[in-house]
This record gives sequence, structure tokens and C-alpha cells, in this order.
Amino acid sequence: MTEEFRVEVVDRIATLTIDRPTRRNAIDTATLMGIRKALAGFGDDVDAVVITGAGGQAFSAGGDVKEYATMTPAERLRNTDLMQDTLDQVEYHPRPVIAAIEGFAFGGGLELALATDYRVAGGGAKFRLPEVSLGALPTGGSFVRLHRVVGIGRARELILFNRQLTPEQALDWGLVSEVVPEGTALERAQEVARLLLASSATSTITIAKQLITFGLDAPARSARFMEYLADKSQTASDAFEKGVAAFANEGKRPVPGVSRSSGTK
Amino acid sequence: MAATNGAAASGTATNGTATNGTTTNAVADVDELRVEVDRGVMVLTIDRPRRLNALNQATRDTMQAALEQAVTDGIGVVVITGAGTRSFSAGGDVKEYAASTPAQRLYSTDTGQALTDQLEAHPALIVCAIEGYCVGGGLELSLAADLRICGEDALLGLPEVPLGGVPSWGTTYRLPKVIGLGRAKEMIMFARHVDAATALRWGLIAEVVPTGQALSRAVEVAHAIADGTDAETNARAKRLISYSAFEGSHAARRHMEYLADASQTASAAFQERLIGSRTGAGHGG
Repeated sequence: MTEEFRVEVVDRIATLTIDRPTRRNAIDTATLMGIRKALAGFGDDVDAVVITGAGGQAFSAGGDVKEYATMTPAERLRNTDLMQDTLDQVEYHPRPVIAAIEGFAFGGGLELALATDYRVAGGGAKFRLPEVSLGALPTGGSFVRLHRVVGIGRARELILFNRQLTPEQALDWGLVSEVVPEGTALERAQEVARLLLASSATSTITIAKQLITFGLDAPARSARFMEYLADKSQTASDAFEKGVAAFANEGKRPVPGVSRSSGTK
Repeated sequence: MAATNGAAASGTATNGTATNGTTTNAVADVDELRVEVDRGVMVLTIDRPRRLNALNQATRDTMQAALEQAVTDGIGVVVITGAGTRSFSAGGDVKEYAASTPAQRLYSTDTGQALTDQLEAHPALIVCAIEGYCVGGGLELSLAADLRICGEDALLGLPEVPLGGVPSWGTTYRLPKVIGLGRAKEMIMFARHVDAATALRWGLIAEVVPTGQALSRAVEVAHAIADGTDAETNARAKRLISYSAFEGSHAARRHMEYLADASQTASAAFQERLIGSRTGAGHGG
């Protein structure tokens, strides 16, 4: 791990920070290795993960073009492989992952955010996939995840037509979950993590996340059976007994997990 | 329609063709699901207002039987609603759940999944009229329907995860297809509840009407469909969406569309409506 990638764990919430502000937090090989190592190392001591970029100007402007320039074609292909695999690690990670986005979320930066479960954008965030205009392709999952988030029509606009979105447009498209005042995205992302953990059991969040992620890739019949099996284990769990008993016997209503600040739409 | 009790004011005042007789068997011993049929439209009312129209096993069994009857009777449109304006349905019956054995809970999961699959595969178009709470299994049920119309005070959400459960009547794979993956994660993992206006903006529901008018609007839409369109064609289009839009390979989907078109263009409805209308004005063809 380099000093350009930081991991801090506070109250069981891990914050991963890409700290290369002079490079607009471009994702180089070391960044990818840092993300992988951090995620693989989280055990029972971490219940939620926040990913952000340092400096307030960029979440991440994408792949590191300077590094690309020094690579052989074979090395570039290995880098693509590493990028895809690392973003899969983010999407498949058992804990909820929340992105705190200020400034640029371009190219691979946007793709990293798309692999998370909840995106909080500061008021100055910008979203774009410039790859095609640069003679490249957004191959960090844009062809897999983006249309599932915003629909195929809008995915075409972003990938093919180099369209840049404001935070408000991203919210309108469902590309982000919340827009908060510029400079407060990290604070809010950590708050969202705390509120989630206060409302729901970690084991339940994990199984719900996996059902969504893997159910989308499965034929409906298989997805249905996965739900059945999940229910089979879940209805036998302590969390279920506690939640259902409190609801049935004490009339305690569940509260929505994450109440939203009034400034968001 | 006056905004009286939504269910009592159902627009199903019968005109002599109402055939309670056809559904008597289905509802013989459970009066918590009311079944009314009027001119090709079946209205199912979950009538357990004191339990916020929670879907206990008996009510779901009755609904399943009524939907079977609708196939037999060639019903073109089914409207599903909850009695009163406080709640469409609060979902699975948690009291019943708490008193169930593990085996009974699994049976409940299995039959709940079967019910939503039945709605999705049903030849009739299914319209949900939603007032108040549409949460948990109530939302899951409505997601398997074809059209959702809400009163403006409706609240839609999935409280399962905070309760220690997971939505398991098909929502984990249906919801992302309706509102996208990001928003589906918000609703399922983060238990975000949304009001009718937000649900409309997200495409989760089709229409918002003043509180108390969801049922009358749904019945109006249902009769417009039943009177103005061909049930066979509707059923075929619905199947193409359910089975081909999200399943199988592109080539298989394309061939399925082709086969559907081949049978459709030979149908009476096609001849009457499309070919017949050629002489009329401005059909897009």
C-alpha cells in the first residue's frame, strides 16, 4: 500500500481514500492493489466501507493516462483485467460500500462508483465517460453495470455521446442516491453508513446485497430459488427472530434505514 | 367519485353480469378477500383493514384461487386493491409469521413466490390500486402486476432488512428492472421508503391520483382496456415482455418476437384492427 491510498477504520466503518490530488486521484495500478488489499483484509472488524477521493476536486478522474503511456500493450491488457477484477471485488464485497463523490467522477472513477451500493454526490460533482472520445473504451464495467443503473438509453448517451452530467441530472437519472452541499459528501456518506448499521443487522444487509447482485445475473427461476434459500437461512436467524418478535409483540414499526436530509430530493 | 372508503366505493356496482356465483367456491370460507366481477374486469379487494391488509396465508391462497378462476373465465383485466385508504397492504402477516414453525415460514415463502409468478405470467393485465401503505410483501405483490396507480398519500417501501428478513417474493430481481440497480439497492438494502410523487418520478408506479381515487381510476383504466383492446393480443404482448425482455439469449428473444408476430399477423384482432384501420386516419402501422 502506498501513501497515495489510505485506509482508516473508525467505529467499524472503513474509509478508503484515493489520495493523489495532483493527479485528480487517477486510478493507477497501486490504487487498484490498495483497494483489493483493503477489501480482502476486512473481516468481522468492518461493517461498512466508504470510498472517496482526497482534496475535494475529484473523486477520481479515471485511469492513470500517464501510467498507460509507459505500458506495453500486454501490460495495458493486464491493467484492464486488474481494473475489472478489482471493481468486481467492490461489487461482490459482503459489506455495503458507499461512494462519497466530490468533483470529477470520470471514466474509471465513475466505473468505480458504479460498483458501490450507494453514491453520495457533492454539489460540484461531474460525471462523464470520455473514453470513446479519446479512442478508448470504458471497460471497467460500463457495459455491464451502467445500463442496469440508468437504463440502456441513458447508458448509450453517456458511453457513446460523451455526455457530462451535473449532480442534479445524476440524481434525476438514479445514478446517485443523494446530492449534498459541496464539500460534505464524505461526512454524509459516513453518516449513511452509521444510520444503516443502526437500523439493520450486518448479516441481513449482506444477504440482501448478494441477492440483488447475483439475482440480476441469474435466470428468474434461479433468482427465485436463491431468494427461497436466503429466506430459509434468514428466517432461522437471530436478527429475524428479534425483528419479527418486536414487530409482532410490541408493535414496534421498522424505521426506514436511512432518513434523508431535507436538502436532498 | 367521492373520496369515501376506497373499497366500499369500488366502481364495480354490478349490472347483472356480476357473477359472484363463479367465484363462490374460491371465496367460500374466507371473507378477507372480496372478489367482484363486472363486464370482464375482476376486482380483488384485500379486506383486512385492522391488520393493514396484511397478506396472511389464507388470503393469499384465496387470491391464487381467484386468479385461477379468472383464467378459466377469460377475464381480461384484474384489479387488486386493499380495503380502506390507510393501506394497500402491509405485506406478509408478521403476527402469523411470528407464530409459524420454520416449515410454515418456508411454505409461506414458496407460495408467496408462486403468487407473484402467477401474477406475472397471468394472461389478464393486472392493475394495482394503491392507497396508503404499500410495503414489504404488498409492494412485492404489486411489482409482479402490470400497472400501479397510487393515491397521493401512498408510501412504498421494503422494511424487511431492518426487520431481519429479506424481500423474497421476487423483488430482489424484479425491482432493479423497474427502477434501476442503484435505486433498487436504496430501497432494499437501505430500506428507503418513497412517497407517491417520488415513485412516479422513478417509474415505480404509472400514475398518481388524489387520495381515495386510486380504485375508481384503476377500474376506469381496467374497463377501458377490457372494452377497447383485444385480450389475446394483450396476453401475448405481456408474455413477450415477461419472458423475452429479460431472459435468454438475444437470438432466442428475437426469434420469439418473430414467432409471436407470425401468429399475431394472422389473428382476427390484427386483421380487424390494423388492416381495418388502414382506411382510417393516421395509423402508424
